[in-house]
Amino acid sequence: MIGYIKMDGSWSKVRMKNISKLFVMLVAVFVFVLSNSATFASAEESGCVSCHTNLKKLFKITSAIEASNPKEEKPAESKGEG
Amino acid sequence: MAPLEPYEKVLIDTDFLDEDEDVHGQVSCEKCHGGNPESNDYKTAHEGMVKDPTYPDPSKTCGECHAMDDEGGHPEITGKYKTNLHVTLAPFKNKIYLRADPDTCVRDKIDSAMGTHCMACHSSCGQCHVSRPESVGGGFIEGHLFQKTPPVETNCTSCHGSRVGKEFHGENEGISADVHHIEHGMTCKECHTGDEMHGSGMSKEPFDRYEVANRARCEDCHKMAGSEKTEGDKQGKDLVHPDHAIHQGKVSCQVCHSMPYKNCYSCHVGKDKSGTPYFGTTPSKMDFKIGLRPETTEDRPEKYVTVRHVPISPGLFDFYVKDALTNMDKAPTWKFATPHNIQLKTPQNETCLACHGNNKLFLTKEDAEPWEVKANKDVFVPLKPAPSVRHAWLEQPELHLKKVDCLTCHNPSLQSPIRDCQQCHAKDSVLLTTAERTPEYSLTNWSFTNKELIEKGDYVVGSNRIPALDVIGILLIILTFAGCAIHGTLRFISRRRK
Repeated sequence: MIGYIKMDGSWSKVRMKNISKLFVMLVAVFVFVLSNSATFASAEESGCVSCHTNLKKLFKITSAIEASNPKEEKPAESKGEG
Repeated sequence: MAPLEPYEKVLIDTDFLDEDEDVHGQVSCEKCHGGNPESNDYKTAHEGMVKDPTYPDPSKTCGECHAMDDEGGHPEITGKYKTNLHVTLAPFKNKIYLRADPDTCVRDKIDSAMGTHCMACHSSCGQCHVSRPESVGGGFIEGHLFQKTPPVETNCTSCHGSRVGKEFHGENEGISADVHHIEHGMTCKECHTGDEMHGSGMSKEPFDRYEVANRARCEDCHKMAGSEKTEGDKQGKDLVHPDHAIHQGKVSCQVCHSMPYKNCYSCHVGKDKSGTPYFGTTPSKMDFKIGLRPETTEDRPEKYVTVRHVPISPGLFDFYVKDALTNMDKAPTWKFATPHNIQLKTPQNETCLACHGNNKLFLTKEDAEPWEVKANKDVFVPLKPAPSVRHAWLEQPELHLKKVDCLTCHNPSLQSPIRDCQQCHAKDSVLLTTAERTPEYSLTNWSFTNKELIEKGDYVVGSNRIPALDVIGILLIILTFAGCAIHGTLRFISRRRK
């Protein structure tokens, strides 16, 4: 496909092939984003998801919480079956 | 069940966010849990967050979709939560209140103690379908993916483990797993369907769990042989054994088909020096006891039922309030039970006499502590005399009990048991099972009549005879008398001649 584009007040002939490719790629990305919008919405908008799906982060945070909280003591006198 | 690490408890599987995997992942986190999703700091992010948004009222979360029996196929679920005993634990409280001092001050303290120790064992939509129950530490079952059927190990038996779970899975020493599990691979849900689990839907909350209208019943699957089946009936083995006709409506299924089960005794709750709540029970005992059901209903008419001792004692709440349970007599401590270790053959159903007259199977005053005698007075079984005494009207009662099948006389098709000796001890004995009466009675016959009984190893006076021997016997008697008469006559004649 060949076309003309006016640049600097004059028309110059460029190959439109590359532009077409770029256009197709953009459409493809757009469609992909749309089809996964909900997932993306959750994943990108929510800090909850970004943290609760990240094993390393969770490990770090829960370890910090554990370290800062006094360990819940097991009741010394509990015996028998509940 | 191994506990989860803290990070494992809250780690979300990314599949949860995939619409094809779990539609619930399309709902934003804060819609159900609240909190602040904009914050990157875990402390502020969790401000106002609700860990389990489905407890106690799921109507604003699950109820958004699962409240109505709509065209989308969502069954009416959350609408029944008010009568869902997993959520309310109502029977727990009802039974304690029955026994408690009516004073409001005492009741407040009991409420407080129960809130700390007892009422934490509830469940909810989330604590069955998303996470383990909080009472066992919580944590996602599978990365927050919603489970249509809650897993047995992490959810059902994590609460119902020490009694039901161990019975069903055969974890009590020397006692096999429930036949439904070990032979048929059944799990909890086969009997306890979602419908039952989601609540009774009854207008009034059931007082006791056995009052739940849609509870599991053996007869949902097991019909009497020959009874009509309706479409949708589950297929279990038909009840073909004649004992069912005799005991139906009088004796619960578990009386004949359950094995010894766990009984718990005493219980006391309190807090240790650090303020940590504790409880204590005395060691549990494996036992099997048949008791009376104090109040039978049309729905559950069986008078003889298996009873289990519940973990309670007058001093249960002593740490919080002394003598709180002043009405211990108001509810039995040996409670109607449905053990989950069903077997086709059990020691007590091996023979009739394995149960009838086997007094150690029945709950009596001797099984109770002095403080609980009055509470269980309607549960104790008045012992009947031994079978040999009750059958003393028979000639040789012990022999009859040993040799004659009980069902011969106690035939379920008859209105009352046979008490006429001639029914057995006769030519046409009811003991005969075949129509043929061979060989025919003939004076010259040298073989036994009703040979069928002899072949079974039984000899029945009057029924088994050798006719030719009868004739010889009668002739000998006649000849003896004749001899005596002739002898006497001859002596009389000889004396007169002298």
